[in-house]
Amino acid sequence: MNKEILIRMGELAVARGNALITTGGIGSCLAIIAYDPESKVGGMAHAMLPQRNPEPNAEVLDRIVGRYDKRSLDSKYVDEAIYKLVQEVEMTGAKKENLEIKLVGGARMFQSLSKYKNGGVGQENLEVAKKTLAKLKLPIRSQDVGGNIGKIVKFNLNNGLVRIITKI
Amino acid sequence: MSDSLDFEKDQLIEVINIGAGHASTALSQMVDKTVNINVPEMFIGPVEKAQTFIGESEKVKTTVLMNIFGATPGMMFVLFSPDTASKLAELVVEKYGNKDDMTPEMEASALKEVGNVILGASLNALSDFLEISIIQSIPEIANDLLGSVVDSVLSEIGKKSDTALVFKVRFKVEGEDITGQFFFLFEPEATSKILELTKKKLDFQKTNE
Repeated sequence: MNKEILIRMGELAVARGNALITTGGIGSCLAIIAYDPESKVGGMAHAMLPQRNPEPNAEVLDRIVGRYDKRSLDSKYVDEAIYKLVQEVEMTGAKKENLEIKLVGGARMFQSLSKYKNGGVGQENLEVAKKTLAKLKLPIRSQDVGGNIGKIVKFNLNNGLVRIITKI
Repeated sequence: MSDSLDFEKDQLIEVINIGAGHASTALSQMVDKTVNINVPEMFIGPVEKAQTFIGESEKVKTTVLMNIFGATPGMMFVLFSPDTASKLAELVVEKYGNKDDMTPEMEASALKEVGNVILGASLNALSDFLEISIIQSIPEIANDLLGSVVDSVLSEIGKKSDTALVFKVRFKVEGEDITGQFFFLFEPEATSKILELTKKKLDFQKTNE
């Protein structure tokens, strides 16, 4: 029997084989999935916002210590969630070069939200995810993103398959 | 310190109660039935934790959402179960025409109108009470997983603040199986504005007693 792990907004879970990592309904949030088919180690993050609001001296900090060294990573933010996810699957036994990345979410549920930006938070989440993944040289294997429909994500760690459930 | 926090909390709940009271009156007039409401419940905490307060993420709900602009920016929405939403739409359409001809588009349109009237009524009440100008957007409707609707709303708040302030008011149409919830979410500056204006109002009343 597969162990089912539910992750809520801003959470992240990593496991090896025999597990199902699932989310509740995802709209503009982004589910980021990483899986190493060899070791069957994988994880999923349920990120909510593209990135942390800039701190007053963030730029200086970035230059001196590197952005992610001094602060603990928060999987609420897409960029930090990706770093944290990669770190944690590696610690659990995955090899970075084997990682298959999948993205689900980033929808726009209401037109009136973020009306001054094309696509709203969902689109911003996607853009930051793509940039961060490119920086880490991790190709996206497949994705189901954008649109205006909510999704439930079920990630099976036995085979790496991601089932997407919609209810409209 | 906790006394003054409790005091502020009570004040905020009282202000929301005024708004919710008007919303329920408006709904009651639309369906010609009594509508009962609960005392507002308040959530204050990390944005990502507000989802649990709002409801079950995997359930499908009908949401009518409006943005609030002006002195107290934020969002408000009303949630129904899809069954309730259909029943409510029927009650409204029945009053003005023939419900048997109702198409899904008409149902959506009727529900938007319900949202517009009840949320609008509560905003008017808030705007009168606080003596400020509040502007509402046109209503939007979504029929989808609650989690996906709520994350989009919370992300908007999350972009501006790590903390969310959410009010929930449950309502029930008497004699009908129609229940739902109103939600009010204010941006941080709106919260302090509401507190400031309420305080001014109370001080003014005191000096005039």
